[in-house]
Amino acid sequence: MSGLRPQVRALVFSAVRATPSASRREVGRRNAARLGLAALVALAEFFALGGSVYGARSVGLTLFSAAGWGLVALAITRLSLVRGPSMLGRPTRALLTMAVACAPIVFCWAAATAGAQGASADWGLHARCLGATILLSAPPFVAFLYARRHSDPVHPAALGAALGAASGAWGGALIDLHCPVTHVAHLGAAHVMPIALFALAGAALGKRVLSLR
Amino acid sequence: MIAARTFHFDMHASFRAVTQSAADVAMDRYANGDAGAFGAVYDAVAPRLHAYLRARSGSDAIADDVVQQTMLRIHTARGSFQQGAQVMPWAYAIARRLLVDRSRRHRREVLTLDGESPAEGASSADLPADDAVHAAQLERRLDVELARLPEAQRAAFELVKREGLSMAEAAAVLGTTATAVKLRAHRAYVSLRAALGSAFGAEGADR
Repeated sequence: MSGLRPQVRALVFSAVRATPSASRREVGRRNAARLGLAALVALAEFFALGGSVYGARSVGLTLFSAAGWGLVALAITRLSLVRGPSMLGRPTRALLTMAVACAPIVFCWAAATAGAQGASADWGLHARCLGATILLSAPPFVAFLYARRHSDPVHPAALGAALGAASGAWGGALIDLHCPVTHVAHLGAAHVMPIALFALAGAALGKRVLSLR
Repeated sequence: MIAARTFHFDMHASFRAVTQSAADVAMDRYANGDAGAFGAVYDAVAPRLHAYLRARSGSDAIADDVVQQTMLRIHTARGSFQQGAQVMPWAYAIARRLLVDRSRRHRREVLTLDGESPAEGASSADLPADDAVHAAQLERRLDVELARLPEAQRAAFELVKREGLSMAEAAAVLGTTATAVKLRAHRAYVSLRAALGSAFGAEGADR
């Protein structure tokens, strides 16, 4: 059997010397800075939109509802962004389950914590709120993709979908604080649907952006 | 002979379990910024990758090329290496992905058995001359029969039986479940046993 040629070692070491790479500490610092910046941009957008608006819901119920959204977003972010004990990340099935289950879970939560059903909004308000949710979800989406770019050798599309769902859930948590409309049709169309949109976008971008190539 | 091969696989798996922790420690040091640790990572990872890639591609040149690319990917992504993680399943996954990409680009180059002689097993080294010849022949036949298996079954068999990965590790490398890997490896084993039945049967009669 022919073994590994010594020339390969020389070539690899030469390429390694010529190619800079960041240590774990540097990567951690950069990712923390990116995630912090994304949080600041999302919060700036949130306050630019007008901040918290409570409407018919009590302050306590609104905060409770947003906390539920945030908890789901945090869990999916933690499970998809952090690989866990294996360098190969979470199993494909777990990532896909998170991506698919996120929207129904938060929709049920939002409907349960909506309080008294107000009048359904018109299409203009649906569209405006949908746009705001997408705007609020975009910074974490970009930061998550950047933090994990070119790092997944096994299932980049599934990882992208899970990260997209997490981004949509973060945007939903902020819009839940901002939007006073609690009709389920509005919640589904304007608050929850971006989760599915970002999950699809993440799946589409995953192979190109997240794949370790 | 099947018993001898299984013993050979088990011996390699045990040996690898010992060296694996050394590779992981070296990778951990490298991820923390110790540039000198890359040599230890290379020495622990590259030969195993090469053997795996050569068995998959049937070509030393392709194996050399993919080993280079894989080691460079490990270098550039070192900062993302998780503390306490295992480097080998990661390296196999990267190498496998690079080989698949390469085979898509050069479909006719990869996964053929012509050109170079098939890999000979190290197991024949310690065997008596007749057995060594028989083992070498069987190894060649095994490689030929392996190449005829469906890709999914072959990959599962090689990672579990040849490379000594656990079902869970192989499942992670292949992006599937441990149950699926177990099933594929078993089907590969059954197919190989049927294809190499006469050789196995002769060995069984000897024992």
